[in-house]
Amino acid sequence: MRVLVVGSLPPPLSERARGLLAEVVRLRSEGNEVEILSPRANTVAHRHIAAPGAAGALEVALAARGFDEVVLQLEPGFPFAASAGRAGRAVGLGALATALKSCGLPVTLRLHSVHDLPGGPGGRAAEGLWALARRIEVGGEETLESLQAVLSPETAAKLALGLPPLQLGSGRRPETALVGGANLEDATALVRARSAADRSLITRGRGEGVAELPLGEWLPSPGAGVPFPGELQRQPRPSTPLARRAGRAVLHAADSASLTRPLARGLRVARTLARRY
Amino acid sequence: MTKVAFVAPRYGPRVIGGAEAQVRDMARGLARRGHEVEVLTTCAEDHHTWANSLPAGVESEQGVTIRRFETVPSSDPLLWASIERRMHAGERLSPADELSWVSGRLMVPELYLYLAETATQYDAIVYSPYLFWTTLYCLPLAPERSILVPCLHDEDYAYLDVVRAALAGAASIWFLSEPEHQLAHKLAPLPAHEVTGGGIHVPESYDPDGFRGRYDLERPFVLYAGRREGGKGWPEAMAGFGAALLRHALQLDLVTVGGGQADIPALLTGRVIDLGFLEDDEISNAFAAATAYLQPSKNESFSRTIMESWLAGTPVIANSAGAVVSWHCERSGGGILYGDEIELGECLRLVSEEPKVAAGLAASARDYVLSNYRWETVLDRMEAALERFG
Repeated sequence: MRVLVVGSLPPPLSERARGLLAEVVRLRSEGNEVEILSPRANTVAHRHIAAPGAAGALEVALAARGFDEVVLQLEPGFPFAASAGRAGRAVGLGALATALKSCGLPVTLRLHSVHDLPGGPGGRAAEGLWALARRIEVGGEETLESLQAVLSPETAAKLALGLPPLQLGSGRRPETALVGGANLEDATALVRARSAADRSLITRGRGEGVAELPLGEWLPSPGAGVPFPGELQRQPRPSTPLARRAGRAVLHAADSASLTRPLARGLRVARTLARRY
Repeated sequence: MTKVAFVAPRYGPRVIGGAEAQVRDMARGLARRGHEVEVLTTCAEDHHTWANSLPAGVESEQGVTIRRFETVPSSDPLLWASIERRMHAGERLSPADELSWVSGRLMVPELYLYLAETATQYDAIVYSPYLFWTTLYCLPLAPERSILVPCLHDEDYAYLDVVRAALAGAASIWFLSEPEHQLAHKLAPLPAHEVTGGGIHVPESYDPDGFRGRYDLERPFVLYAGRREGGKGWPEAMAGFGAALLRHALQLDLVTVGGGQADIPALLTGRVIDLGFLEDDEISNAFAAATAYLQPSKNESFSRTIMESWLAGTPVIANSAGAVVSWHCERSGGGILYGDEIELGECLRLVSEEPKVAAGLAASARDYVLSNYRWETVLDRMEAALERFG
């Protein structure tokens, strides 16, 4: 079976991330093919969601095509920003519920802690999400009780404790240490003396066979990484089409002004989605 | 006997690089000694594109089981490039920026998940080199059985907090040289660690005349072997060589072997000769045929090539800005150091005009390599260190 897991693995090695990692390990051990779509940048994943909120929900729906099951973890920042107000929360949860419903796949929802869902587990928008889940896994007794208190008996029947977080070792081992020599001095002294003479000649701009050479162009100042002054036969660099470069510049400019930033970000998300799907 | 996994971003016969070759020889050497050795790596060979050029799956080579996992491309290469610029400009990066930089070149989620499932099946897991996703992300999965072979260089990347965490968080660290060890002490509080050194294979024989004949090399030459790229000092080496040709009318060519584009300037065509990728035996012959070996790189944690040069009886001309190579040259007496292009020119002149002096330098250095860096010696140290994990 192909399972899409939506949620954040480490880093950081939080309990929540290790809980999801334990679930992924379990799914794989049962022979499932697992792909991870992470809402948090830089975490271990096959893909990362490009944008938060409703656009992120759309991405989940698009990514779920071709999978047999979805395991989705609700966590701070997903499916709505931690700073979102009531409306933002409702839009995020509603969009995610709609997206998951549109997939038509069995969904397992995970909530590590009740604190991971700002505003609590109740409310109409959240209820719509819980209702469509086939199973709801929680990270501990406290969260289990909190959900039992707000869910309908029918939905509460889907509740179950999830796997404990994957235990990762932290032991340490003891310490050890190790190891402990020509006539290099003469050779080095000769090179240094001759170099001093070279510098003197160059400074004065004369000397045997030196003055007629374009040394000023050839010799970088000591230690400087000056490129070779001759014509370099470099490999042609792959050129970016003018239109794409112009597009990037426009996006960059739009992103730097608060008024046009949402538009720029929307275009970026659209571009990312278009490339991926 | 221990079950050991080596985690490396690239592994294979066509993968060029000192750290990569070190991992390959460590794995094979320990396997020859009866340890159960696996290599967990990517399907990539090119460290610029990280494209999956090899098939994912399991294969066996010289007693080593190799498990390859596909890389996932960076979602935002522009962000990576921008962080890289800021880092080199000396800007302090946020933890999120550091992780974006580490993930910006390659990610290998399947390798991570495989390790999450199987880490406890290994007695020890060796991660190398230090600055890749495969090390910085995977090491925390089983820190109690992790050995870091960082191959550190004194470069901007080494000062990242994420690197500090890896150095401090490993169960043990194996350094390839004393300067590398000292640098690590400046970067992080270190766990158990030792200077195991790097290992070098001693060729049974050399064929310098045959090498010159096969490649029509008429003039004596200095050799550069390795990746031809800016980070290894290759452009500066060519510039210095060109300046020395003009200044001293040297009867020397510069022969280069290895990976990457040599980008030879038109002015030096015929005097800088690119032989491309050669098999190990032929590279040994190149070392023996050369008048001197040129090591322009500042960023070395061991420098196998200078060892191979000394073994072949060939002296080394090296950039004094490289702490590790300078340390080896001074300890062995086998390498002349240069601080700028003028000194490089005089070094080239010396080996060209006074080959007996040059040969004398290399003679003592061969003994230095044989006493300290034969693979058997290095593997003895590694095995002793592994006993604590068995």
